[in-house]
Amino acid sequence: MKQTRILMGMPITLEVVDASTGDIFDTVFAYFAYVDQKFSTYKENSEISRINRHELSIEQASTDMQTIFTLAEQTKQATDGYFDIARNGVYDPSGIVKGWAIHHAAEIVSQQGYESFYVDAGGDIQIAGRNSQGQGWRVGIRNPFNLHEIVKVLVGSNCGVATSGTSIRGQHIYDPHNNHQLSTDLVSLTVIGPNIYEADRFATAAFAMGSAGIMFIEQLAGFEGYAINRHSQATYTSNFTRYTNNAHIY
Amino acid sequence: MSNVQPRQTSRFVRTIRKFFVSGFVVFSFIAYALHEHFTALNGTSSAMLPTPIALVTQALPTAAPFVRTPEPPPPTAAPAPPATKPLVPTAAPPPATEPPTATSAPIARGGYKDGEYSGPVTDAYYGQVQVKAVIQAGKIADVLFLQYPNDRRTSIRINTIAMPYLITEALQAQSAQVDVISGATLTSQAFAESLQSALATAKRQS
Repeated sequence: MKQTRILMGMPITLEVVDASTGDIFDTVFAYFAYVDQKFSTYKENSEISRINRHELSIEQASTDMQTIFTLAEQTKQATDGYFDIARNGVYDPSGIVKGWAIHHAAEIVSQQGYESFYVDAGGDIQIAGRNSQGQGWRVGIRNPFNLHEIVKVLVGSNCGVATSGTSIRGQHIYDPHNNHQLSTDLVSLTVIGPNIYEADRFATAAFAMGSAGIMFIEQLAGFEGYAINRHSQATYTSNFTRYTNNAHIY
Repeated sequence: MSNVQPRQTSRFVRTIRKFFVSGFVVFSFIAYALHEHFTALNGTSSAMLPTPIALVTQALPTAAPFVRTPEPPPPTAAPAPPATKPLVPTAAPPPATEPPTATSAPIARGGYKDGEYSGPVTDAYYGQVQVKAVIQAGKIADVLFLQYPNDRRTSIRINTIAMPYLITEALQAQSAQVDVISGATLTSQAFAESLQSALATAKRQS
């Protein structure tokens, strides 16, 4: 059973392989709606907008908001400042909220007893269990130069796959060490991690490092990456083929 | 008179000492510069290869030239096999768009054309890295560092902990039989189209 809805400005899909009821879909989509309402910088009345207008301090904010600020600060330190939700005095936590929300949505599905499913929010994915053929989930990496083409097929289970790129909703990634200019040599960076929260935050930070980002992923234990530059060349980490070797069989 | 003699001697000795000290400083400087220069260029005998195309850019965990501590064990071949193994399948359909410019060598069984291929100089976060792959009998015989960051002392720690071990390939279309897709979403297109149409509308109304 599979449903897609447009929330947070992107298509969000939940597919559940186990026998499921419609309730799980409603629960998951309601959760994303809640996250959107709280963290969207596009919504005037969201909590993050109130913080940015200084109507609310972080100390007074909700638990979820404080969690996000704590996680953002941890990520900023783990990435040598390449990940930063503050820009020109305005907070935009979307770089961490998305992965965090997908991760939580997947936890909700797990807690309801489901084992085989995926949650995909705008191309960032948490996969769990097996697909409808009883095999590992097959995750394609989209060609950033031809959106109808797949350039890599990953096969996996119980992990997160996130892609940062320049073409997703405009230029939303900034390099804090280079006067907040977008780094341009890298077009797309896909990161596979233990879960989507980890994969997404490090994909975002590593993308800001430009061509060095894949080196950063290489140095992270438990993470693999696939970087595509503007010359249509891809560079991948040393154990990346662990996810692609099985893909040729089918 | 007896006072003049020691003064002259001491002036002479002082001059000689000055001369030696300055000489030593200059010599040390030159020696250091030469040392840095040669360690940096270690293994660059054929760095001027005209082939700028990297079929395979791979950095093996061989000894960094600047590491002074114990010589690495000779069997550097140990980490090599796992590296070459996953490479071979990627070469099966050689990237037709960027054939190597080296001509004479025949294409051997392994799928690579014999020759030496220099990768592009890459900013590896802690410095510039450039490698050269040597292909013999269609297989990767060796990978050499043409450039390696050794100018920053702080980078040594990073280098020795996590060696560059990355592989580069040309993009190739794959089977579209996937459950789910990661990457630039169609929303970006939708977003652009929506914006465009909104702008077009705005234009008509003005």
